[in-house]
Amino acid sequence: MQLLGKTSQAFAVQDPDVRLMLRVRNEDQAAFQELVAKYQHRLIGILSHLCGSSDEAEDLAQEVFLRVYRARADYHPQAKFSTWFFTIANNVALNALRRKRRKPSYQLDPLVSQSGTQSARPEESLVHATSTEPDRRMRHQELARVVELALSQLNERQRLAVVLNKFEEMSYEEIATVIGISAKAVKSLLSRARTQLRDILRTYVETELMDDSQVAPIIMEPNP
Amino acid sequence: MSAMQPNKPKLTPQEQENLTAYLDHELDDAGAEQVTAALSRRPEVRKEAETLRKTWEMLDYLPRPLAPKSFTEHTLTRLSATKGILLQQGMKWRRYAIAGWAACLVTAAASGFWFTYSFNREPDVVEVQAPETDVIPVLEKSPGEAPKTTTTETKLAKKDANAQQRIQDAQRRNERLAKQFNRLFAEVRKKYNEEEEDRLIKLSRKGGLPYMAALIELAKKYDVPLVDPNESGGTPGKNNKKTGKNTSPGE
Repeated sequence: MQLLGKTSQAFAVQDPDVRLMLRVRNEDQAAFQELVAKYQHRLIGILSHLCGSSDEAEDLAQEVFLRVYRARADYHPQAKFSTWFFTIANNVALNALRRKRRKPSYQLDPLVSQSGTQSARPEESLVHATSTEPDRRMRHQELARVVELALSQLNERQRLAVVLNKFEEMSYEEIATVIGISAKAVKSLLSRARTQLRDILRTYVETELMDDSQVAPIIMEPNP
Repeated sequence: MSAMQPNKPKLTPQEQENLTAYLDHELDDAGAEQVTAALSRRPEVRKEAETLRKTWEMLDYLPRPLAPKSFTEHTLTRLSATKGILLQQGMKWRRYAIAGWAACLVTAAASGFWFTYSFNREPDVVEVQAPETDVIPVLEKSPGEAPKTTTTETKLAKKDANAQQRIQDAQRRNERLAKQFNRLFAEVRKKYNEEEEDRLIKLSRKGGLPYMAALIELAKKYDVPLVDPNESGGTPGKNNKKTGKNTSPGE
């Protein structure tokens, strides 16, 4: 068991995931398995929003866990474990996106691939959805695609900041650590991202759809 | 389509940032008070706050894909495979590291020995060879063996003994040479004139080869034998340049 500094001890006491990672550092295979099980859904959720594909997200998630394992010997908790973990995830995702840009491959637009219709701007598809799809679940799915498409129009940093803030409930300070910028820059980044999302989704927001439906996240069942 | 165009912003970018941070509970007390005041006074700020809040809620529609059930197992399998590769790479690198360290140690040992030997070896002996006949004595370095680095103590000891022997031989030759020149000077001074005396004295202050050459020149001039005929054991022999050993019969 390696000795811990005061900062590390403080985080280890506060954050159970830090304790888990410290066990991984001490070559506890069961702890690593536990870590994977605990973070896999959250990680794939974040990565799928960053790279836009569940399959790719799974591959990247595996890569992230492998990197975590390789980095175990050098792990010295200086922050919450999730901050350290998603910093690695961010690096892996950014590398993948860079590779993707160098070797672009044609992908069907999500709206085209799902509906087989011409790709539409979110607000256009929203009008289509609200006017012709009475089924609640169908409408939710359509809205999900609209919001997904709106999110995809943000740049990578904005997208990451939004999903970390929204789904991981990370503070500006933590997001700043993950992305590697200042908290002030995160404040500006998130403000621009939310303004952009507001502009894209304005039509929907200004309707009363939100009022008559309790929004519940749609959990996509994984492929067996 | 015009309805979809965003309205012109009524808030400054700074107000917009503060409003977003306020909704995220990221503003300090002073900033939060300012936004609260703006919300109570300005309807456009209230509307913007509500729009942003609803937009944020819309993100709940985003699909949240879950990892497949086999994900953990696949990850651990991939980890095992990677560990095997890493282990092989590690072994390969370990071999390189061992070879590298061995090479470094040998080099360091050789360098250390060479430096030690270079600084501690005997100084080059300057021998003044006594002329056997009418040969002008010359300064000549002792042709000692070139230093070689060995790793055995036996060879080192042998070399040390040889060096000591060479030093002693050189000292003996120097003593004999000095004796011969003293005799030569004693004989020559009986015969040289005043001018030659001055010149010889001047050269003797400088010493070395010019003095000896002048002395031999005068000895020849006044027929003083260069070699003492009474000296038993003969004359200093020729110096064997290859071995550095004196091969004279008396040695």
